[in-house]
Amino acid sequence: MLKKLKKYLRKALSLIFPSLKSKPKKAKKKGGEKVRQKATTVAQKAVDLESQNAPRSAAPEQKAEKKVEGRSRSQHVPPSFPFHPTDLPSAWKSVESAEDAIQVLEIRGRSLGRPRGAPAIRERLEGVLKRFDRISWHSSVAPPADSDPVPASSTDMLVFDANTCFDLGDIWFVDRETLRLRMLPKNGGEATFQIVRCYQRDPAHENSVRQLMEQPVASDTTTFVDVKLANPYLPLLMSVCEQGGELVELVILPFPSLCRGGPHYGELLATTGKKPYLGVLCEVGGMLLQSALHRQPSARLTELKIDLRPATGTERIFAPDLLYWLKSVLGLKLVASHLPSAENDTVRNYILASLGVEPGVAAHVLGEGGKALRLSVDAIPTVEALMSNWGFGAAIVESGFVMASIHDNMPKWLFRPPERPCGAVNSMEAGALFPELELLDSSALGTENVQPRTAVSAIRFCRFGPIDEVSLVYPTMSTDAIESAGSTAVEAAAVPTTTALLNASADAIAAIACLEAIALQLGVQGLKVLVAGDLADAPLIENHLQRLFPGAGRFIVAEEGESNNAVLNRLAAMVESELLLIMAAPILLHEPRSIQKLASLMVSADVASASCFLIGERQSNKNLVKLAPVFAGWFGEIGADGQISSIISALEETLPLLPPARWPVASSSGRVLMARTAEWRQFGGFDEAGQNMTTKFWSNMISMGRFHLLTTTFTAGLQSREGEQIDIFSMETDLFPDLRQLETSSVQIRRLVA
Amino acid sequence: MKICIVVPTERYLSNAGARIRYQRLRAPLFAAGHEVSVLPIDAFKDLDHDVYLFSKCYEATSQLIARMAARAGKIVGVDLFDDYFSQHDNGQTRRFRSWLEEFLPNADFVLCSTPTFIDIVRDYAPQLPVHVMGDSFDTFDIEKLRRLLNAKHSDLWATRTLRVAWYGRGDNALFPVGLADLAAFGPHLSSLQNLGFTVRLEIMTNSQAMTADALASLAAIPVPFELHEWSEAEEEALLSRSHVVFLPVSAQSFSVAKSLNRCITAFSFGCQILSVGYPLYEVFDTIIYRDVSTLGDDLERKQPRLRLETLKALEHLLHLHADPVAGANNLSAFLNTVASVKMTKPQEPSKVDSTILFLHGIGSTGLIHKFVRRQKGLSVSSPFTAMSLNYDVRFEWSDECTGLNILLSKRARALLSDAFRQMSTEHGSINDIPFYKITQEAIPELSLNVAFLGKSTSASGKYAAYQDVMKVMNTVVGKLFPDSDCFVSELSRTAHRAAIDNVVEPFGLQ
Repeated sequence: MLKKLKKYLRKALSLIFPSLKSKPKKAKKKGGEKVRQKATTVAQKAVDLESQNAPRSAAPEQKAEKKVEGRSRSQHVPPSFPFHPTDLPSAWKSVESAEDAIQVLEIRGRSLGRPRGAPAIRERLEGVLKRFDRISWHSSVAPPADSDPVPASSTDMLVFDANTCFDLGDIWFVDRETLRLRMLPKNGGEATFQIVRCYQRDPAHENSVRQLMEQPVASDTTTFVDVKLANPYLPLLMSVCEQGGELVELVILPFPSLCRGGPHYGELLATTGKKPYLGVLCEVGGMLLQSALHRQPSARLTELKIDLRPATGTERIFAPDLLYWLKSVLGLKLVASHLPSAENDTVRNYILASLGVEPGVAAHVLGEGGKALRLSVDAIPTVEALMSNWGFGAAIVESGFVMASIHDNMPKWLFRPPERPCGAVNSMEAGALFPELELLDSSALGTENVQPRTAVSAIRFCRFGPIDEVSLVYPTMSTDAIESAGSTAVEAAAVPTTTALLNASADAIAAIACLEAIALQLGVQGLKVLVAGDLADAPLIENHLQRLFPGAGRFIVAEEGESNNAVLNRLAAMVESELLLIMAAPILLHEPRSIQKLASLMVSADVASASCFLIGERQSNKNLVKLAPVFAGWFGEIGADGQISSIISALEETLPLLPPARWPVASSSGRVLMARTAEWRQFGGFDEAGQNMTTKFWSNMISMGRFHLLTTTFTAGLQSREGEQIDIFSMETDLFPDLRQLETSSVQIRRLVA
Repeated sequence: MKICIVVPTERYLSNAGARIRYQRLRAPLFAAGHEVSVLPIDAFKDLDHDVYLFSKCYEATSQLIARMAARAGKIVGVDLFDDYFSQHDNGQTRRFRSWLEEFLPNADFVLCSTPTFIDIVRDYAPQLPVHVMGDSFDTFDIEKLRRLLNAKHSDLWATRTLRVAWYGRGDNALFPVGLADLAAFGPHLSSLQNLGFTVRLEIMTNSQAMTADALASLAAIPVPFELHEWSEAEEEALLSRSHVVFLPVSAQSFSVAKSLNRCITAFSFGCQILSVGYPLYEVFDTIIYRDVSTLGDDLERKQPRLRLETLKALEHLLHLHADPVAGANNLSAFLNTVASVKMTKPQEPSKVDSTILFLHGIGSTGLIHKFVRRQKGLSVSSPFTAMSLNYDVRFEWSDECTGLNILLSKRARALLSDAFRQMSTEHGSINDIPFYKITQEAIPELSLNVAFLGKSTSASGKYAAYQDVMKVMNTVVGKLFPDSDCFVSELSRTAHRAAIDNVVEPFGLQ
């Protein structure tokens, strides 16, 4: 079997190194043992070969008559390239066999090689080792003295200098623990190879470094190098040695999790813009490395406060490798901002114990000098949040987050909070919309260019996929009258007087259905209804108004040629109540507390308008019509330069994946819009020359620092009309003369494309 | 006693749940003097058993049979082993909670698979007797297990290849389970590779669970794996060759109520158990592993927790928690107690010749329609019913859209009182069947202000109108057929959620 293995390896090697086609001499060992390859690559291959070529060994107690039928559906072997230097030229010496051991560079007792050349080179490489050591053992290493002989700005990150015979072409995760590097040949030079080795802090043995792999990399061909990481969050050290054992280069990948396919890749994409990936990886990694190396103890995060109410223990925050990095390497304390809501003691204790939180201990008040990050349980902190020096700010500051797929780590969206905190949003009992930084120490020196609001502090992992109909129609089970179940009875005050406005022109039947749904609304006293429509429909609509809203409904004849916008303006001018509710005819309020809930959103004087998520029928692939999300608000879109460049409406498939919440938006659709009558008259009104319910109300209120809230705690249905596309929402960007104003009062987003 | 286990379909008999929970009890129950038969609900004809135990029959026909059985003095129970009942904040499971609320007043007992269900049932019916009957092992042959362990351990030490298995149902329509748990807890297997063994993981699950997302998430598994489609024979072969079975458990409510059967099955094939996550299998704590490092230490010392010396301890634990004979005997004693208590209670006078009515909502089936017809009942369509079948009573929107008209077949009309019969006029034929009509004006209760909503092409409109329409139908059929048993047949989860919208007067469905 061993002969077959050797034969295979020789063949494989000869493809890369044609000079090795003849059987090489055995490498003679001098001195210490060859470094053992801990990765299972060879063993794996041996097993694979064995299973292919050798008769299958009888499974224990396998009955003769029971034969495993069929083949497995699929096989997955984490990719590996089983090079082992058994048959390499004897000139290739292991690092431990260096003739002059004094000259060998080592880290935590592990030899890396003997640097060649000028003392300056050795000095540079020693600097790399120091930095690697410092960021791999954060909590146990004191901050550097003022004079750092090798400043952190040196390019020791993934850049191979002229002494190496290859360049790095790409680096990415092929599975959760395996990084693949593509090494590109450098132009010119004779065909040769160098040995690449990778190392990480060994999670299994305190104070030691584990060698992850070693592999020859050729100078004249592209080589793929697989590195099975000990932990995807721990810094990676890569060494390049000549065949004779001379150490040529050391580079660090300080935060492997930022690589494509890694758990923090979304954080990288959020800062990428249109720059090439490798360049950004180096740039961002370098910046974060600097922050990490120069962290002031009083300016860094000391605690993570996790909202454990919906926790099941399957969330990423419970992953053992992440917890090791957070607690053992970074020295963070994990506490519960909210205890698990499970009534079962065993469940609660298990969840708390999994995070190392003591049962029965609620979150304590953060003391003076502490910095904490509050997270939802579906989130992990970003590298930026963990490595930055946070200065003093408001007591609690919202920060941005990336939404990624829990299935494959792929980032989807960046969310940034508005500059101004919205009291109505913050009062939600179901959990904060954004991660929050608690920055309490006024004496800490911060990094001037790290602003909590524009930083990305968390990656939230969600199950992207189809949304079930129940959740679309009724996002919550709550039959409470008010938006927040946590609010008191005092806050659940009677709904202010409200008038619903509706233009029934061109679709009287749909309008009557809309009126019937309004008539079913609960908890709304003294609701009035103004309906405009065609003269021909007057008897029909008046009849139903009388039936549904006796004494409280009024029909207004729409003038011939009068636009929808003009009709609604005319109706609004007649409103005498405190609140008005503008409805488009196709809207159905299937939630019987819609008006009550919208009114509860308007309680805060900060809020200028309230609306809700829209659903409707859509044709699916199989020619079936099914309910689907249709509209989730307009948001400011963050451009490549980090500024708002346009507005976008694209979150209808995404917002329902997050817990129901109230979102400050740039604007809603206008099809369901509650506003204060006086403010609507003064600052709103539809543009009578425009189309599709265009209004300056959105931008006018935002320019005054007010909020437009769109809730996903309940939905309204959009009736489809035959022959009409349901996507009738458009928004003219020039309705916002100064897009920067959107930063004040609305959430901003950006689609992340890998 | 003659015990009838009522199941939803013929196919249900072949799934793992039914096989493990019922087939294994047949022989010991028979030995205890009971006859057990398993009956697909569509095959129900007569009440010729003493006990009716309903298993996963979450629709209207089971409600009818339960009511009939209760009235006939039979012992009625429900078997709960999937927790769809404790998630009161989850709209998707409302349908199941509605069913249980409707069912339990006719029940004499609840059978369940784990103690977790006791508190769940207390929320619904605090006084109802609850009996916990865990899933049992098939056979426990200690000598066979000895040979198996010997062979497995010899193979393991000789080849240094550690064969790990994960098996089971990989998905659930309502909760992330199975492959989702495997992906979430898969990283725990990482340190298995540092034990000095070659690790091979085999995953065996239903093909339906192998979606693109589920397979993508398996990239979280740090060891090489193979994926197999489940079958009973393949499962046995897998467990026969595996040294370790990996059983991760989520702490969500659905998962913490699960039974011990996967662990028990794995034990019976001599597998070590590595269970991470929620400690579902803590009763076996002395024999199972909760972390890889302890497993690694024991494998290094060649002293795994399940070995020849500990077989007796395993036998004791299995007999304590999963003995089919003990399970059958305990169930038998429990049923005898229930029976004797029932005999002392005054029987409700049975409704002689009461008319059975099934009101079909948004989601019903032709099978349910046929079932009620076989029971000589009336099948009643609502304005929402999409299926075109030969209903006996039809509620339709009036032309003026101010309420409902009723259309009655000859057979239905014959059951009306004289007064109502005189209200009806000839309507014409539907599918060659003559119908009579009672208009909205004749019965004020038929008035409704939701006709345009209900007729809307939008599902949103139908759900908005649903509660009012179903209440009116229920009220009116109660008037037309006063001594009737009325059931609402509704399988739409959204409709069940819509039915509770008016918190003041929620309309209960089953």
